Amino acid sequence: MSRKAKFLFGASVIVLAVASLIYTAVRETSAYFITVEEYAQSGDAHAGKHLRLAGRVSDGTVKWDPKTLDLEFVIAPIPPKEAAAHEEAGSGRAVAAVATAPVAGASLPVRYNGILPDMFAADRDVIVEGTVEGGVFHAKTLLTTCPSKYESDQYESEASGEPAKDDLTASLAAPGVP
Amino acid sequence: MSEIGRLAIILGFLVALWGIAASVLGAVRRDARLIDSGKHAAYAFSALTGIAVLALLYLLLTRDFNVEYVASYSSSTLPIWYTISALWGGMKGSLLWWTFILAVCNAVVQVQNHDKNRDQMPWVTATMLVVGAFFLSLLVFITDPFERLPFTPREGSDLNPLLQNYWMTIHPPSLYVGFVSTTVPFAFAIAALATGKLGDAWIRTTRRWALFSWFFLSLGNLFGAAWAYVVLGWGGYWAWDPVENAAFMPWLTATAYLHSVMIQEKKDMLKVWNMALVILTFALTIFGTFLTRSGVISSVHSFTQSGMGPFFMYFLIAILVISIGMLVWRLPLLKSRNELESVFSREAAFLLNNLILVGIAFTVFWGTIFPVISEWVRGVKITVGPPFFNKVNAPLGIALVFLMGVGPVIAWRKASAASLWRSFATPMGTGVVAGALAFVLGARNFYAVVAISVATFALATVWIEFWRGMRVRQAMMGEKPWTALSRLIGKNRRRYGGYIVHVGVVMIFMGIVASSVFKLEVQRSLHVGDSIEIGGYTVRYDGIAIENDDHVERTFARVSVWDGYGPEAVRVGEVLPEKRFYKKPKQPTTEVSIWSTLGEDLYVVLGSYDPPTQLAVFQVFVNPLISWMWIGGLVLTIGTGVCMWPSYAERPATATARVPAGSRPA
Repeated sequence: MSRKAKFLFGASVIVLAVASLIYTAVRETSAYFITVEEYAQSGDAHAGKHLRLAGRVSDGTVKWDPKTLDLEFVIAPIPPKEAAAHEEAGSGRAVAAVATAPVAGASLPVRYNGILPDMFAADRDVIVEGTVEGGVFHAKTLLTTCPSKYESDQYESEASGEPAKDDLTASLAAPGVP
Repeated sequence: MSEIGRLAIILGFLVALWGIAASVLGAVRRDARLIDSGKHAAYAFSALTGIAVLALLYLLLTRDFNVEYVASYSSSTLPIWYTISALWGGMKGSLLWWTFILAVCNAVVQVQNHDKNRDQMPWVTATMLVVGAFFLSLLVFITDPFERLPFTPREGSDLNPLLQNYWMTIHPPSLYVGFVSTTVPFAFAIAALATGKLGDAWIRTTRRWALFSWFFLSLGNLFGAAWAYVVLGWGGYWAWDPVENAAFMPWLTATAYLHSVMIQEKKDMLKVWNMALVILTFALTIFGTFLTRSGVISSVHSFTQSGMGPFFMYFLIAILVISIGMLVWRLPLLKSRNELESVFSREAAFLLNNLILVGIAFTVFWGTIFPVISEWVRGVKITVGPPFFNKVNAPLGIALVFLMGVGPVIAWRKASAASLWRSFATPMGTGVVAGALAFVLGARNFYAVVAISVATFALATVWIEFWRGMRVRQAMMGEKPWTALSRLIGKNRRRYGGYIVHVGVVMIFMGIVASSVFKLEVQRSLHVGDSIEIGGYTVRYDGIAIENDDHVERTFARVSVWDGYGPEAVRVGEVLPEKRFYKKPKQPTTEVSIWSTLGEDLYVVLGSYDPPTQLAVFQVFVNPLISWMWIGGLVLTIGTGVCMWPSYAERPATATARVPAGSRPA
């Protein structure tokens, strides 16, 4: 073998090694990223699989026990109107799909154990990661998507009154505490 | 003042266009007056963007809430330091800031080269102004940072609380300096391709710039990690988020370039490869800006989607098409004069290091864009998270650190078995002993044991290099140990500075390994007086304190830290994790509190707090060797400083600098 061939052989071994590392890691760690609607439409196809599910926390369904850190809530689709607004802002097609195919009654109970993220509250958009077992989504991670991200979306106009403290009370005194 | 700013960016844009036209025409027609005019345009461009930045700063500091940007990113109660950092806290401001740094780099390049590289300079000027004009065009036509509102809000909506942190005041500027300064080597590469002068001149001119941008990319990434660690409160510092990846990829390719460029200087090989790395690094910085501003890939860190994505995409495509086209056009001039002689040689080790660095960059790229690709190809969005990146990069990272030990000492051209044994027996032995020791002491994770072993090996080779060099000087010159050491470093700044950087990187590597593998975590709700025992510490919840002002309400948990468990525990200090409520954006945030030692960090998070019962939920982590990362960053800084410091040999005419050190009379 000439030197050049040897060198090319060595380089291709490394390239193949990296490629196979990527391949196996993708197979072992990837998760389907779908919305609550898409989940409902797909029936049992996703049961037991590793999922990332995007949806909204249904109002009045949040139960959190600060003693055991057990959290339960129902995740529902993000309403079409706002999903369309999201789409306009270019925030991704997964959410936009909701706008075109609304399914009534598509929602799913979620269970999670751990500290609540700062921005977690009823009516907020969340992404949960985990698996569905027995009709319940067992979330390993819970991410809140802040609609304004790094940008503040509104300034206090002259019309607005006292700053609301709901968020603070909501985050400090979690629901479920007597 | 907003009118002045607006005028400055419009004029800046026009001046840039003129500068591009004049430089290119001047270069083609060999017209010195046009070339000079282009150079003056570059200075004017710098002055005008400087004026625009000052105008925006003035508006922020005078709290002119009639200006949309000021109203969106500051408030009357925002401390002055964060008001200044609001300059780059929002998208429009960050674009202006970016352009400004580019303009400063451009001015510095003009000054450095006022009587050098005469043929290349017009192309350099034109390339840098093209990039500058692109960024300014966004501000002129798409999103105006000086836009006024139809009414004047009574109050601004404030800077995002997550950005109100000291790391955030230095992380974006250093990252931007790192990003933007990659334009300089890129511009010289384009100039070399355009003029066909593809010798070492452009490499020597940009070597220090490449190191400069690599250094700021390193710092930017470390500061970003530090920010995530103290602000985001999930116990870690790196989540493989697309935005983090965007900053990491150019760092990887820049690191590859810094190494492969030595092969070109010494052996006149890898010319095409080096050119490609320079282009790739610059393209990745633009790709990073695109990622953070387009919303193509969802990220926790990104700026609001802005419809600016397509422009960055077109710009990126244009850069790649033009520069790769020029590279292909000049391929015949880029033939290497040497070939690889042996697999056991420094050339081969460096080549391998390059392949691995680019391989890591590719895996990071692939993982980042995987959701988009899977949606195109299979119609379903599939994401890969941190486990993917960790799985793929753990073996690659270990291989890289191993090569870090091999590269500096293996012989050029072809290493004989005897020289391999001489160079590597001791450090290899040390590495194996360290791995065995780690195993005996209880480390059972395969990667951790290998990583410890490999890191020790890399440190040992560096140590031996310093030690041998010092002994030789002591013997030959009769110098005292410290004199010998400092002269050794002084005479070979690049080499020994590089070794010091390696020590810093190995420390960071050890911090990453230890904190990912040996991390401990507990979550529990506590009544006042209750405690948690974790990793040799007792953490006791002593009560709550509240502080309130116009800007923020802070709820502290007073938590005492004890060394040991039970009655023997000794109180060593107190941490104050808090919940904050920022009043302008009406947003709660969590502030962690860290008890940091050289060996480990005790990281305490106040999860939630119930006022009537004083029941509080805590999350406590023990993260080993985190401080090594920050100390490693400091070592890296010192090492880079040693490399960059103008050496005495370079000051006189280049002829004397070319004489090998050994042939000089003692």
